[in-house]
Amino acid sequence: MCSPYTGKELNKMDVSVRICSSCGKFQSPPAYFCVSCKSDKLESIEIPGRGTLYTYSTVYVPLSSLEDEAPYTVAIVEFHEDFKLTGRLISSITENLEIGARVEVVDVRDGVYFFDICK
Amino acid sequence: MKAISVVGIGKTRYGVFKEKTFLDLSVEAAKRAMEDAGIGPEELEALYLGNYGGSDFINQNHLAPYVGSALGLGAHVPCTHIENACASGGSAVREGILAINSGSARIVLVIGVEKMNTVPTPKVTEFLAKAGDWENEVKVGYTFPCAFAMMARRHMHQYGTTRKHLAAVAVKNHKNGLNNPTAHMHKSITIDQVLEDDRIVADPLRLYDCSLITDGASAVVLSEGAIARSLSDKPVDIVGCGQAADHFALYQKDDLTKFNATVVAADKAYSMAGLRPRDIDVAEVHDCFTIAEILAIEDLGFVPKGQGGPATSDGMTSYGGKFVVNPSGGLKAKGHPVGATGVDQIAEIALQLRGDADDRQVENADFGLTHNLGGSGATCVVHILARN
Repeated sequence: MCSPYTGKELNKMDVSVRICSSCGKFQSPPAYFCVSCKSDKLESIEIPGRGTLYTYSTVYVPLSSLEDEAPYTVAIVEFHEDFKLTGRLISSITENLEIGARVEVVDVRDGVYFFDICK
Repeated sequence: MKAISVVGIGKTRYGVFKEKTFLDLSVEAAKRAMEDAGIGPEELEALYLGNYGGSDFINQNHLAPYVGSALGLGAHVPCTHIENACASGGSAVREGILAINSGSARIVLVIGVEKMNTVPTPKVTEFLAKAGDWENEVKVGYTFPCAFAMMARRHMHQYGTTRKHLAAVAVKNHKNGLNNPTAHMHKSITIDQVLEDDRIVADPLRLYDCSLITDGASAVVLSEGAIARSLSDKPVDIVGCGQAADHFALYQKDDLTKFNATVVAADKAYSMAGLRPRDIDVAEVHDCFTIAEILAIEDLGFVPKGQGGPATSDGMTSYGGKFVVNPSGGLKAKGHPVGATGVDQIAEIALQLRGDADDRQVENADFGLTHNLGGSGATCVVHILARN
């Protein structure tokens, strides 16, 4: 998989994040100006794709383009206090799933992140 | 801000109307609002049209002059379409206010309209999802029920809100909708019905936690305060107006249990009006999902953060409570024709302050508030109205 910013090949477990060169704040994408100091000097770095489950929902009434895949589970994962991403859990079995669970990126398909709960 | 008044109100019935076109609905609401103000199209000096999805739902763009032409408006009347997702209607009202305030018009027509029942539900879901970030969230499979479900789950986690609290919003608003003749749904429901319905839309939200896919239009005629009394026996004044923005995508927000745009828009409106949350007697808030009303009453300052669920369950926002929230039935029971919603909120509060709300009249209402939210909170428009 490639970084959406640099086009560089990523390690499977990494995610690309933009960081403000002026104040160091992490930015959830898409980011062009720092959300904190408004600087436009942002740089992209790769960090390990491991975070915590911030929230999630299993979708039963899907988009028309995803009717064959429902039900599926959408999750927001927090990789850093200022950096979250939306992706899909690879399993729709959400019994015993808890906010705060350790999650990792296991795949990126057509720009969509797929997460799994860390075993 | 100059004094601005609502001098005409018009609504269509809300529901599923296969036989009525977009223009039929728009013109019907506009005619009623003009009749209420005692004016004809020749007296209008600007048209603002709130609509979200015309290019998808009815394959039509350039919508404001499309409607203006059907109304026979003259060449001197500028017609402008406002699209701000579910806050299109509230944003259109605000543009009408700004036009009068700038001196470019004295009498303005604002119409909100949506014709949604033209495609099957998954397609409606997809059209609505375009108000989210297509590349970074919608492509994943994110829908708006999913967005508010994820917020509900965070609110439950942080504040102990329960599905029963969410259900209390649905039960109250369905009860209120029974007394609104233009509401989409006239159906009384119980807490157990909401909790036990097996139609999960996006967990933890089920069918009765969601607003409706509705066709309908609402319109208001706004005028300079100075001429309001010559147009209406019962003008209602718009005394506060605030619009605010926030991060576009849901995952970009620091805190998913609060809408910053609501807090900021409300602050602007309260300070313009010189009022505080406790001064508000009646409010129409954006209950696109049950959790959204709980977030709204917290972010508007009616109750402390985290207390929206218990306050609703305890009846604080019902008739006979401290203030009444969504006397019209809200988006939940009245229906949510997306672009119409923000305009209908103004129409509903104006009816309440005129004392013309019949069986759903809130007693002794002096000040009312409208709260219209777009997307996952990237836009919010708040208006405060006062009895003249």
